[in-house]
Amino acid sequence: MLHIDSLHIAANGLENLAPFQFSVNSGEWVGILGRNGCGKTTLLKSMAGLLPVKSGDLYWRTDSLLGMKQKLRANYLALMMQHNGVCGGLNVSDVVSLAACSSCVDQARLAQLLADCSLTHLKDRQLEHLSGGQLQRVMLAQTLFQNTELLLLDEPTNHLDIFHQHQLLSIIKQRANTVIATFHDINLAAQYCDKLLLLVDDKVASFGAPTEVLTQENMRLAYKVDAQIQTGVNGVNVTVVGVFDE
Amino acid sequence: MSLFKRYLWLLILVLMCLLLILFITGVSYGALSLSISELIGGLTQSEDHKLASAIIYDMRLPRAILAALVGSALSVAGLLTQTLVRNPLADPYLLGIANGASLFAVSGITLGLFIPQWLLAVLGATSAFILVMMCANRKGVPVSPMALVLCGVTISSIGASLTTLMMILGDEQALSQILRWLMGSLVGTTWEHTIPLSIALPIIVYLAYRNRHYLDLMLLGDEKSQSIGVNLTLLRWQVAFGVLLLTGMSVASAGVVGFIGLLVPHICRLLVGGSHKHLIPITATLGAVTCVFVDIICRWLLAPNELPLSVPLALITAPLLLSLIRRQTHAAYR
Repeated sequence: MLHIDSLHIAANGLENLAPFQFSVNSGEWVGILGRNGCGKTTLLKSMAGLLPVKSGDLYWRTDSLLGMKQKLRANYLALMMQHNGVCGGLNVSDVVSLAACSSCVDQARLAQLLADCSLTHLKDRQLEHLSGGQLQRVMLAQTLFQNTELLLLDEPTNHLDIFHQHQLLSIIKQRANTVIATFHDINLAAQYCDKLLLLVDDKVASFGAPTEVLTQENMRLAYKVDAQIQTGVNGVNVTVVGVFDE
Repeated sequence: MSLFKRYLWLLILVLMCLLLILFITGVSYGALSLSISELIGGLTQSEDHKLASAIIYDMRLPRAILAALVGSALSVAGLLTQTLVRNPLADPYLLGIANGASLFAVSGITLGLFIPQWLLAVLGATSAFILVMMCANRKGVPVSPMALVLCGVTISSIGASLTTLMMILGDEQALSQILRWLMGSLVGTTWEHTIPLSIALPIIVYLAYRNRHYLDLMLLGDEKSQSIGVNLTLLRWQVAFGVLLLTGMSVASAGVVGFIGLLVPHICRLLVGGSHKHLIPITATLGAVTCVFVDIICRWLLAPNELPLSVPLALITAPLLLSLIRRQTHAAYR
């Protein structure tokens, strides 16, 4: 159960995000949406404790996440960044097992995770020789290997084709993690997330179920697009029919 | 898994045997080559082989040992630097260490200072290092690899230019002494030269191996490694300091031995992959073997003249590296 309490962020381009709060139940997915540069990544990094916050806190059950040391926090949440900067000739097994502390690499758990992420046949391949989809799965496997309940993912489906997008998200869905992820693809977010958070102009404009957040008015405000919203058995679907002036 | 990785410790054993053979060769070969009986007599310091004994214990053995130490130290320092700046093209002199040491040492020769050369080298290395780290450092964030590279290259250039200036101001006699130092030479090695590295090297290699996981973690992006809980600020300073110790001591005792710090870790990486668990032991061993071998070549090739170490090092190791790279590139496209 994640509770964000009056989190006030002022860092890095997100000059003054007005204090906000929300709660997420265990196992739920929250999708963060917003235009390019609106501060989604900054928000995620602040929640992960990599950027200082002005005030407020995150609570996992009753534990204050921002009050603890980074090493301890790494047991609670795992962060997957958009751009991975791995270099140095490491192979897939090496990279994934880095998430754990050195003396406790559980080989059985590693093997199981690699199998879950369809990476077993690639485990000795060097990262330089992987395709985009494979690389993203490796970074996801590394994040999952940290064995935390809470996952913070920054655009996990970037640069992936629809097969790999859905493959990646289903890998996570099969586990019981609580996920906070940023998305560019609104429909993908609507399909997988239980709640959505919409960032507009330095404030959290909307938070709630996809049907509440994805309205024509919100699309106009947040993205300056004219959208048609369809709600059906498969959830909410947003189709853009026009764009407004910048 | 690559063959070399699987049989890593066997490979290291083979290299150690090779090192032993090279030691024996290095100690026997020279202006006065020793036969087997003279060698044994000299090693056991028997009464009949006083000259052999003196040659071995006063000249060739300390030299061979220092060659092994310097080769190993520079290779490990090169590996640590490459990890520190996350760039396989880095060498241990990146942090300004060599050029700082050179400037002070060469100034000592030119100006006829009465300060021992090794002390000047250490002072110069440390000064340049501090300068580079201070320039690259930004308050509150871990020192960035890019900043280290840029500051290191810049301050190295300043050091190099001032060194050249010092060389021009000196006379011809000083010039040949300077050139020898700038290209690395083990001539005139005594037992005192071997002391600092024989203490520092095993300690640093042990510490590096014990913390091999953190060295691997340094290869991840800043944000990711910090989110796992790595204290990147402290870790980078510790690694940089290790590089200073290893490189500074090597340069102080043998001058600027080029290429080995760049090429040996690179060759090892192609053989056993990028994980420090395998890289550290094999880099340390191969570095020692390479340097001892090259030192023998330096004495043998143009005997009785001695080549400086950097020349055969480049000529031997570079083609080896090129052929490995070509094979690797072909493998990637299979």
